[in-house]
Amino acid sequence: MEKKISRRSFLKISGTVGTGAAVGLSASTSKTKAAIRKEPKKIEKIPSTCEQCFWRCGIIATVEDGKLVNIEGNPLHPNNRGKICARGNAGVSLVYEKDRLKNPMIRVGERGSGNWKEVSWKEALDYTAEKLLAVAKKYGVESNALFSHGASGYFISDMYKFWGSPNSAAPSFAQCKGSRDVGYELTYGENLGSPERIDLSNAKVITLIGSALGENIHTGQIIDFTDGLANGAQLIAVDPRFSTAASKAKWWLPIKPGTDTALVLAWINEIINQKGYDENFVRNSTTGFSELVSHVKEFTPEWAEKITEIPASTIRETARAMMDAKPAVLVHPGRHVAWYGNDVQRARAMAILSAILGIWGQKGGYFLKSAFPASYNALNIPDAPKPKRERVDGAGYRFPFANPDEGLTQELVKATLSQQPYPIKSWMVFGQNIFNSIPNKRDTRKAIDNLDFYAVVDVRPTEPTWYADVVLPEDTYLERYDSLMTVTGWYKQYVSLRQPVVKRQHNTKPGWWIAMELGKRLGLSAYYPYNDYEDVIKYQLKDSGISFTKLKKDGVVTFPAKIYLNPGESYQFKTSDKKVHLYSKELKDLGFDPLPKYEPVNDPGKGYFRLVYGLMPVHSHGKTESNPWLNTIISEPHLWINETIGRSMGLKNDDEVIVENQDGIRSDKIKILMTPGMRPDAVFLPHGFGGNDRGLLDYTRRNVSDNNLISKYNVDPISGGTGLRVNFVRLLVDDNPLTPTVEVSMTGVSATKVSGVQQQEEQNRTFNIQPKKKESAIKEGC
Amino acid sequence: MSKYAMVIDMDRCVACHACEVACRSHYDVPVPYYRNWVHDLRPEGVYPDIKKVSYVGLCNHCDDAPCVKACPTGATYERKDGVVVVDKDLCIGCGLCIEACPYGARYINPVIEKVDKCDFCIDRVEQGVEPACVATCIASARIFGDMDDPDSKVSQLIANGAQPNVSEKVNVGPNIYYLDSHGNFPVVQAAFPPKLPHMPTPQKMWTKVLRPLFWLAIGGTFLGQLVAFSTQLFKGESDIKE
Ligand code: SF4
Ligand code: SF4
Ligand code: SF4
Repeated sequence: MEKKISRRSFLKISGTVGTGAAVGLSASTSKTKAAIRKEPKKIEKIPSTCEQCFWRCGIIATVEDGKLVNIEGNPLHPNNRGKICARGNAGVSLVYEKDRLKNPMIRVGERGSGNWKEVSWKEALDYTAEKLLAVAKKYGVESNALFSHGASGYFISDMYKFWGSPNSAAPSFAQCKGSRDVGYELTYGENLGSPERIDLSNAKVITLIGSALGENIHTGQIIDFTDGLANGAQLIAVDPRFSTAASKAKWWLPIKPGTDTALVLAWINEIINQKGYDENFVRNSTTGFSELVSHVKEFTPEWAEKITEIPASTIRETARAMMDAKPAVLVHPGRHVAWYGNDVQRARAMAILSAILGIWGQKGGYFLKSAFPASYNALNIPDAPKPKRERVDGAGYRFPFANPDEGLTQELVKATLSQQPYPIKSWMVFGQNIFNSIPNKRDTRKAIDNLDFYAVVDVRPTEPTWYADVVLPEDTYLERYDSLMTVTGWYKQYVSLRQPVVKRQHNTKPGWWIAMELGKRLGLSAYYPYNDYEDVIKYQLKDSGISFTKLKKDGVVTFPAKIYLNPGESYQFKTSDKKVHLYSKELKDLGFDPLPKYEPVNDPGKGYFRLVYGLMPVHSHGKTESNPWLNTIISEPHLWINETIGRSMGLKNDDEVIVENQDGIRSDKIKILMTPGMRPDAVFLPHGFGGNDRGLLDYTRRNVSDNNLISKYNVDPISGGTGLRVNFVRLLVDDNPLTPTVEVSMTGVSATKVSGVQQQEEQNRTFNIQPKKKESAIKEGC
Repeated sequence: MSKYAMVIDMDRCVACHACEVACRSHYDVPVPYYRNWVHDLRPEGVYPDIKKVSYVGLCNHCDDAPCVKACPTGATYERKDGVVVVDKDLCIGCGLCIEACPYGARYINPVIEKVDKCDFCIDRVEQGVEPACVATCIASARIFGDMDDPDSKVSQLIANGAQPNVSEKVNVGPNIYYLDSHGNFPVVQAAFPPKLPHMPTPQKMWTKVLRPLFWLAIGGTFLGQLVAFSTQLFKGESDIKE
């Protein structure tokens, strides 16, 4: 119609051109055929579950003649509803990433020399088992420790449990959401889970405290967040940085870092004073309100203004917005909350604020978890033995509220360093960059020297892989089965399947197989009555009413959920007295503050800035940096610094600086991004970028990792969660520290005038655009 | 007849780049090129009036497309439904259209040595499936549809004030519209104004088209097309307006 030429005749003509134009264009014409993607013989659409981050969206992979060509969101999946983020789309490129670990390897040179030999799986596993058993024999089973992460990490942490070692830890607790979960559990008797049960799309006011939704991407949550905003929700964004969320906010509160609890306490004070709380809910469903009232009496907006540098009037105005919108007020509980080492108390303050607004089980607030209507057959395996010795990280005793299922990574590192309370002599690191997740990587590095054996299991190499005695390459999430992913706290309950969508590309193995094979070599055959994980899933589902065939075909099976309370219905909270604990006797009994207090933070001091960090939308932790499709979007981090301060130090955008922390630890050169959208007393460094990865990766990079500069950290005495935002840094150019010549507050230059610095027109306004030189691709005529 | 257009809702977009990657994967776009882009601007302004803006762009499927006029072989043409496409078999990779495009929407794919750009996923659209970038957009910030249908969402959004990226100097009838209630679109327009189309000069025509074609002509099968190219060339030169 448009051009009178059908695709068939079109191809025919191109054939003619190919033969006729042999002289000038033969090369390109023959490529033309390759260009028009060859009509594949076989196109398959296979559903599975994403693991580019831990949100686990439903995906559908398109595989043409055995090659994975693209990934789309699964429209049937209630979480991501047909959408996926940049990382999910880039799963294709992960499978074919050239830097993947491809064969099992055993180290042959000195540890850290980078000399390995490739070996068979049998040899690698026999060797690993032999080393682990040697440690067990000499020091006890418990002297073998594990760091794990991700969906396949569960298999290996189960294996350590079956073996009798209690010493495993994942960063998802102490470096991420642990303190939040503890704070909410202490208040409500349960946490909000992951995915969080927050009704963003129906909220009338959304309060984000340091949650950078939009840069921190979990697809289902962004769908709801943007729907909520489109439905007219007013957004309060509390962040020292002008985040993407702040750019959509009615109120941006550029808070002084570390003072969030003071702000929340002042909100509670104001809401109580204005009688803006939900009286019914407070009366019927909470305990400790009168203690709360007297506790917050002195925490007025004026008091908070001095601490937070947020005007009292703004605190009142935002408190008013929340009171007026209640109960459709969504106070986001946060996710990575490992900030200052008193984070449980901040989470408590946020949980209390939400409680007095009566948002539990309400539309636009926190929604409810349902009971899963199906039950799975359990494998007939022995119970795991009770470990003979206490875990070394103190989870559950030294840190009474730490979750022993996840453990405390940094405490495991410390115990390995000190070899106390008993020796830790082997580490297995499973799917985790321990140098980029656990603070003070120098300790982590040193601890490795105390080990008799150190193994790494991963999909792609990271800095800690370099020191491994054995490297076991794992399948990507697109090449393997994992256990069923069952979510009961969502708009619809669902079970989501991960299944291989493409044949494995290299000599890699799935996590379940690695755990099983190692387990069998450690004498744990009784725990592995299977050879194929697909059989396990079939067996689990056999009597559940969920058809494996349907799950395999659709990727997900859903069930209805009851997420809101009926009018007048009261909720049995999972606390001792079935009520929300505004005042926590549990904390009081263990010697902690029963009501949250603001703990003052130090000022950085002249020439120094507080180092804050966060995610960029196209990267997950350290997992995606080398993915070519994502790296081309953001290949290196830019250090955000307040524009006026930066100018006063003689800097321009994209200038390179060295960042040095209070302990004299330095980064390699980092480019800067100057903006009025950054508080003057802090700098922001995106997380997830390189350390000293050497050799194993095909591209070189600089040491621009935020975690490298986080040598100091606090530990929350309640949860064991780490506080990572306690480092101060200064900027150096040519070894000279830079000092701002002005004093600046958010509202302007307050002391000395900006002297000798011109307000330059910035040439390059964009900061992440790669020099994508299209012109250079234009061929010159011959 | 349909007339396809896209609206980018800047209020919803969170600059996640999913659209850019989905497009890369659907069309094997080699790094570092792109058919569809998100350019993030540094947050700028004076506190408290700061803007953090991203420019989401793709081919504008212009009504008065300079690329079509610049193309000497007829490879780039506009379909009746408004979609501007490149016939890869006619494209000789001369790149004249790249210089003509005010939006930087085209590149030469080095693998195939042909020009490539967004085609509104017309193969998908004809099967009733949304373009890949629209399907993946986690913020539902991309709305695709038919402007000839007054009830379509794009028609309504355009009626409600969605704006194309045009300037006083350059207006070639683009069909990507931007919806914005935070004053962010003017920032995009200031940072990424449409460029004046560079139309082929006779000299470029010689080095990039005619000389290579001369060799082709010796091959003997291109004579007819040569005539077509020359016709295009004259058309292209004469009626471009700024
Ligand atoms: S949010 Fe993105 S990376 Fe995370 S699971 Fe979903 S698609 Fe994958
Ligand atoms: S945006 Fe560029 S490539 Fe697309 S139609 Fe307009 S001129 Fe042509
Ligand atoms: S996918 Fe949607 S939200 Fe993400 S950058 Fe593209 S237009 Fe914006």
